[in-house]
Order: sequence, then C-alpha cells, then structure tokens
Amino acid sequence: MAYAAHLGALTEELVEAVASVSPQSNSKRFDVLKESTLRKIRHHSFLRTNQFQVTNELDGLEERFRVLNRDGLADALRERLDALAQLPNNFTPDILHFILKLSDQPVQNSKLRDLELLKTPDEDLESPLKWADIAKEDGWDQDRGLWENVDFADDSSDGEYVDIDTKSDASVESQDTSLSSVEARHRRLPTDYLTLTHDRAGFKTVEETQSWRHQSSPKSATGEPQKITITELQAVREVLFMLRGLDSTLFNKKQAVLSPKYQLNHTSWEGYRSLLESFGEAGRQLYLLRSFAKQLQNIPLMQVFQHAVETRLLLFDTFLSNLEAQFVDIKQDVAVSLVKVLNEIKPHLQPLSSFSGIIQGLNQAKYPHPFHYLELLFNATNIAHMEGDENTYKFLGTVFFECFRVYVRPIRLWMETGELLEGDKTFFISKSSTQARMSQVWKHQFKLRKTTNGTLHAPRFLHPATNKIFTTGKSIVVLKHMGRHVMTNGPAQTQEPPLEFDEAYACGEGALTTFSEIFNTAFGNWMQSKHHAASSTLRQALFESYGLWSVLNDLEHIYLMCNGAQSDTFASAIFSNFDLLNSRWHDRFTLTEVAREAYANVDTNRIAVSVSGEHCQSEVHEVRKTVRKGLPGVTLSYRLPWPIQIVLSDESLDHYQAIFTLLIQLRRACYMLQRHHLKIDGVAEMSYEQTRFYRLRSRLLWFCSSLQSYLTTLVIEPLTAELHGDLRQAEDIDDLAAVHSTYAKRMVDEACLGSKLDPIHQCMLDILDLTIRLEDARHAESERAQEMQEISRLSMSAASMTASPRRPGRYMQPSEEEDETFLAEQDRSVLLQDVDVDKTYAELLAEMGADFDRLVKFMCGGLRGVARASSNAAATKWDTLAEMLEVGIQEERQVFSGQPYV
Amino acid sequence: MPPAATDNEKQQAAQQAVDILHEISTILNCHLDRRTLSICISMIENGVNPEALAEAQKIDFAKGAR
Repeated sequence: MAYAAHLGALTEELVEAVASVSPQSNSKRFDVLKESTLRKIRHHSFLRTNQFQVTNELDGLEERFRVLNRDGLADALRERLDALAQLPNNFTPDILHFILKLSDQPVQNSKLRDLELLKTPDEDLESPLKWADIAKEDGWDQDRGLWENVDFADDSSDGEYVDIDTKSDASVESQDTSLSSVEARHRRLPTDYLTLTHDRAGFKTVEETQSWRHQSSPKSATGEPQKITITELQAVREVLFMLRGLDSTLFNKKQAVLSPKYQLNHTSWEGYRSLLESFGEAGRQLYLLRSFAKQLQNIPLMQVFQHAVETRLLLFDTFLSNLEAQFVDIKQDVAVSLVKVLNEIKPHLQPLSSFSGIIQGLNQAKYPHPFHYLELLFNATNIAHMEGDENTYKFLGTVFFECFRVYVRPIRLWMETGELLEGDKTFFISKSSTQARMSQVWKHQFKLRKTTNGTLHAPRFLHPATNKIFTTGKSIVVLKHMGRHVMTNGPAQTQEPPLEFDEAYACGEGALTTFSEIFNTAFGNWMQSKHHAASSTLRQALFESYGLWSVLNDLEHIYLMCNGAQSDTFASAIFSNFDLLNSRWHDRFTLTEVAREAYANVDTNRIAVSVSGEHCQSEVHEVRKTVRKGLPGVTLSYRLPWPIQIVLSDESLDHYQAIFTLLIQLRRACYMLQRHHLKIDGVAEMSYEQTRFYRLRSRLLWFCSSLQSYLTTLVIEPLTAELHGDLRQAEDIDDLAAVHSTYAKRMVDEACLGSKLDPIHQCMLDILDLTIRLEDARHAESERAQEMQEISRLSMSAASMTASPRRPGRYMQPSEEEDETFLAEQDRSVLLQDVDVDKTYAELLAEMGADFDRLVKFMCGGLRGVARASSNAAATKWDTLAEMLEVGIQEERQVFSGQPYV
Repeated sequence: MPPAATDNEKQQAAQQAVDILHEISTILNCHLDRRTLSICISMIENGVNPEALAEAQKIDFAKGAR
C-alpha cells in the first residue's frame, strides 16, 4: 500500500511538473491526468529494459553525432556516459532507456549551448563576447574598409576576427563544459587559449590615434590640397616601423620613399623631408639586407653569410625595440625627437650600411662566385680600417672571419687528409679524372682550378697562400701513396690557431696594422700548423727512406764524372771500340755491362746504357772521326724510385745527359791527344813538321784541359755544393724540385749548352774534332813515312841481300811509339781514305793551326759578347771562360808572332 | 560518524548521477527539466517501467501543452 501511495505521490508531482497543472488551479484536470498517467504506468505491455540494447543505442547515437560532424556533442555524450559508469546504480540502464525513449531528434536539434545553461547559477551565464557581436553593437560590422585600410592590423585582429567567427561553436565550447574526467578525450585547440578582452576604451583610443592615416587631405581656402599634419610621436613610430621592415604609412615598403601627404606640425616641409629622407636611405639599405636574409641559399658559404646578416639584423631589431619601448612603456620623461632617434640609430646603422653595400655589389656582379662576397667583405673591412672607422672595422672583421671559417673547411680537409669534397665547385683545387702514374701524382693528379679568364678560382686575398695549401695537400697524398701517412692526431685533436678576429686583432701591433696584414698573419699561422708537419714528414721520407742524397751522389758519379777513374774505364771501352772500328760498338748489353763494372760503387742495377737510333745507324768509321756522331747518342739512364722522380724531373735528367755528352766528348778529345806518347827526350833536333805537330798538339791539350778545369772547378763543383746547401734548406717538395731543376738548368747554361750559346757549343765541338783530325793526319804521315822506308829498305835489300831481316809491318820513328792497341792492319786503309791526299802534312798542320786559332778567337769573342749582352747568371762564368781561353791567344801572339803556319 | 558520512556520500553520488543524467537528457534533447527528471528517476527506481513512463509522460506533456 505504501508503494501505491508513494507512486501516487510521485505521479502527482510528475503531472504537476510536466503538464504544469496543480490540484489547486485545476483539480479536475489534474485528477484526470494523474489517473491516466497512473494507468499507463501500471498497465502496460512493455518488456523489461535490455541494458545491452541501451548501450548499443547510445553508442550508435554517438557515432551518428560524429558522422554528422557534431563531434562536440559526441564528446560530451561520451564523457557523461563514462562518468555515469563510475557511479554504480542498478537502474542506470532503465533510466537511460527512459531518456532514449524521450529523446527528440537529438542529431538535428540538440545544442551544446543548452548544456551551458545547466551550469550552477554562480557561474557566468552571460554568453561569450564575440567580435561579431561587438561589431553589431558598434555598428561597424558593415564597414569592411576599416579593416582593410589599417595595415598594421593585417595579421593580428583580422585573423582573430575570422577565426572566431568561423570556428564551430561546438568545438570551442566543448571544453568549457568538460568535467574533470580522468580520460582526456578532447583536443585542445589554439583558440582555447584566446583571451577575449573588453577594453572598449582602449580600442577607441587606438582608433583615434590611427585615424590620421585615413584622413583625406584638407583643402586650403583656394581649394589646393594641404598636407596632413602629424605629431612627432607618430612620425617616430612610423620611422621605427619602417626601419624594422614593417609597413608604414609615411614610407612605401620597398623603396622607403617618403609619402608627400604628411608633414610634421611644427617644422618646415624641407626640414621634415630631409630628416625623413635620411631615415628612408637607411630603410632602403636595411630592406636590401632583409630581402637577402629571406633568399634561399644552398651553398654553405652563402648560408653562413646569410646567417651573419640575420644575426646582425636581429641585434638591430632588438635595439629598435628597446628604443621604441622608451616611447611606449614610459618609465621616465622622454623627449620625443626624430633627430634624437636618428642620432641614436646612426652608430648601429653605419656597419649595416656597409653590409648592404656588399650585398649590392654581390647583386650587381654577373655570375658571382660564391666566395665573391668574401672578397667584397675583405675590401670593405680594409676600407673601414683605412677610414679609421673602428666600429665598422671590427664589425666587418668579425663577420669576415665568421664566414671565412666556413670557407676554410675544404682547405682544412685538403691540408689534413689530402682529400677533396665530391662535387665541390667552390674550392680552388680540382682532381683530374684520370689516375696519374705514381711519379706523376705530384704534378698532374691535382690542378689549381682556373676561371675562364685564367685567374685562380679563389678569393683574391688568398692567392699568395694557394700554392702552399696546394703543396701541403699533395704532400699528404704522396705520403699516403708511400704508405707513410699516419693520422697521428685526428683533426679534432690538432691544435690549430683560432681564426678569430679578436685574436688576430689582438696580435696586431696596434691600430696601425692593416687588416690584410692581420689576416695574413692569422691565416699564415693557421696554415703553418698544417703545412709544417706534412711537408717535413715528406721531406724526411725522401731523404731518409728513399735516399735522395745517395741518388744525387750516384748521378754525380755517372753523369758528372766526379770519379775520373770510373768514368775513364767506361769511356775508354767505348773509345777503343771506335778505334777498333767495331761495328757493334753500340750494343746496349755490352755497354750496360761495361757501365755497371765501371761504376761499381753506385747501385748498378739501376744503370742502363743505350744508344739512340740515328747514332746506331752511323758507320763506325764516321763515328770515330768526329765527336758529333755516336757519342751524343750514348744515353745513360738511371732508374729513380718514384718519389725521387717528383724532385728530379725528367727535364733535369736531360740536362744531366747533356753535360755527360759534353764531358765524354771532351774525354774523347783528350784520349785522342794522349794516346800518342811522346818520346822526345834526347832527340837533338826535330823536323819542321814535328815542331808544328807538337805545337798544335800542346795547344789543343791546353784547350781541352782548360775546358775540363772550367767545367769541373767552375761549373759542376760550385753548383753541386750550392745544390746540397739549398736542398738542406728547402722546406717542401716544390722547393726541392725547384732547387734541383734550377741547378740542372744553370749547369747546362754555364757549360755553354744552352740554346743561345749553340754557335759556341758547335765551335767547341769543332775544336774537339781537330784533335781527331790531327791524330789522323799524324797517323797518315807516319804510314806514308813507313811506306817510304819500306821502299828504300826493299831497294837496299835488293842491293844487299845480306842485310838482316827487320820486323815487318811497322815503322817507328825514334821519337815516337805506336800504340799497340791501334787498328788492325787491314782497316787502316779505311782510316786513311779520308785524309786529304792532295795536301802535304805540313799544309794540313798549318790549316789545322789556323782553324784552331780562328775557332778559339771566335769562341772568346762570342763568349765575351754573350756575357756582355746577357743578364743570365751564367754570364760571369762565360766571361771567366773567355778570359781563360784568351790567355792562349795572347801567348800565341807573343811567342809565335813572327812565325806563320804556312 | 561513519554512517552519516556514508549517507552524505551516497547523496552526493546520487546528486552527481542526476546531474549527469540531466546533461545526457539535454544532449538527447528530451525536453526534461531537472525536477521532472528527478521524479522520473525516483519512479523508475521504484520499479516503474521506463518505456511506460516515457509514454505516459509524452501524453502528459501533450495534454499539458494543450
């Protein structure tokens, strides 16, 4: 019964609440409603609630919300259901079932805003303030122009306005209704953090202060437009905006050109204009910098410059902000003055304007190299220093070193590891695509990159140092090939002097040291730290492991004949083959064998001798007759280890060969003169011919020995000593190679083998040939005398058959002894056929004497002339040689002046 | 007094449940005020069939509106 009573009471309440009918107001109607309701509740045909079905229905509903883009509702529903699940109640499914039954097209009609209304009364029930509402209230919602024209508000208020207007209310407010649920299911949006202010007074002030921008020009009494007057504060604000690269009304953005519409209210137009134009000028320069900072750069070298520009701009902007803060957030009395602002900005602008000059230069250059700006920066720094602008100088110097540190990276890699970055087109060293031979690695593997007009592809200020950089890297490469490059200390550990402007500046001797000098010192120190190790290691390797000294010693023995006995053994073997008319004299195996035997103290395995083609083909009796054939073809080759070949170039070995040829020709002449032994002791008198012969022979001997002593004591020996000294002092491989090739070149020049002295060289060879002619003539004469003797002997023996037989075949003058090794009998005819048979011996001797005189005079004269005319270092040596030879001519004049040869 | 505290908690939990259910009913656009809902919940908790109650209420609402 109690249940019925309770239910009845509840039903009454329900009817009262739902139908708004009370027993007092309309008891009859109330009773009817109550009865019908009670009946409905008690007598029904509904099943019990299926809680799973209810859950399914709610899930389905949530999904529908989401499908129909009502995520706010879906989230809210899910939140509530989850919260409800936390509160255990057996009747929850029933109640939810009841609610579902009562739901009235929630997908279409539900509003999240209704949830808002459920909040407890202490919460702010006022609807959120929106720009749209404000606009409507103030009546400017239709006035779009207001927003369009106020430029400074472009990216702030307008955006907010649009944002809030267009944002779905659901998502904004779903957060406000959120419960402190553990499960954070909803997303936070940027708009959630917006704070809406209602400072209408402030807004009005802003509007009023900006209104001058949109005023139309007032007209004068005569109808001419007049300028709009603005206050100095407004002008200052505009100027600061313009300098920061923002839009401003007084200046246009790109060119910072002053708008003629406005004027300060307390200055003349001219004064105002000149003042504002100086700001405009600064603005143009800053605009250049700002647009450069925005460009996309791919090359690291450019990127670092861009970064430097950006950093400096940021500093400047910070300064401007601080300046502006004085006017905006006033803490103490401030005088608003454009002139003051200009003066305050000026020291900061000065360095930036030199910066913009560089960028201007960069923009003007056609196809600039990436490092072009470094050159410009370098020059600008130099100029700033010369102008005594300390501030700009330090500013630019710091930036220069900042950027240069990036440029130095490939240099460091190259100098430390001998490697180049793949595809790096900015670096001035390039690698040839083909792999060069080991000995050519130094010369041909790497090249200095040149531009099309032939200048080095490197900043101009680096040109003096490029060779050193190039050499160091090559040294490393060569060391690697030698297998000797050990990275004893990795790049990170290498102590290198810092490339900092402050450091470098501190090292300079006061303010008078030029920037280029400071840079050269800093960079020189930096380079020395890398250069020294590599080059000294390579130098050491060449001298110690590859035995450069011993190789040079061997060359001196072989080519320069520093050991006469050894050279004699080798030369005599060739000469005797000539004299024996051995047609196989040029057999390279025999010659090599002879050379190896002769030069026993050198590394004989490296020696090989050959005779070049044309000289092989000459007939041996031709070769015997002159020093010009055969001997120049004898080529000694000394196989050098490949690292030594870097220092001793092929060219200098050719020079060695030329000296060798001259020396062996000289030796041949001496050999011809000396193999005829004199036996004149105790001979009372000599025939006229004999006197002539001996005189000529002695003069030729004098000539040969003079030449020999000139070559050995005045050319080879001093130069070799100098070479050894220079090699010890040489710092790197290029120095070594240069020292050696200079040495070889000088030796050739001083030995009169240079192309300019060819006539003198030929004259020298003519004189040497005279020795062979003289010997041949003497020999022919002795043959002839022998024949005469034989004839007379035969006639004598015919008269007296009793005479004892004499040794056949040889005629010996008492004073002469034939060399036993001379030709075999059968070949003599070959020798003699060339001797001029028409001339007598005396005539031949006279002719040869005259030739000798003429040639020696020519040689002296020629040498004197060349020595005078030439600026060659060898000129003094030529002079000395001429002097030595002139002695012979003068003596001749004194002693034999009265005795002509004929 | 633990029992009192428990009652209080229960009451609070019930209150909270009603709040939540009210919000759900709002989301589902049921046109129920808090009082009506509380009455209905009480009735359902007293064994009234929810579907029957809904029907009855719809009729009441319709009649009341008339």
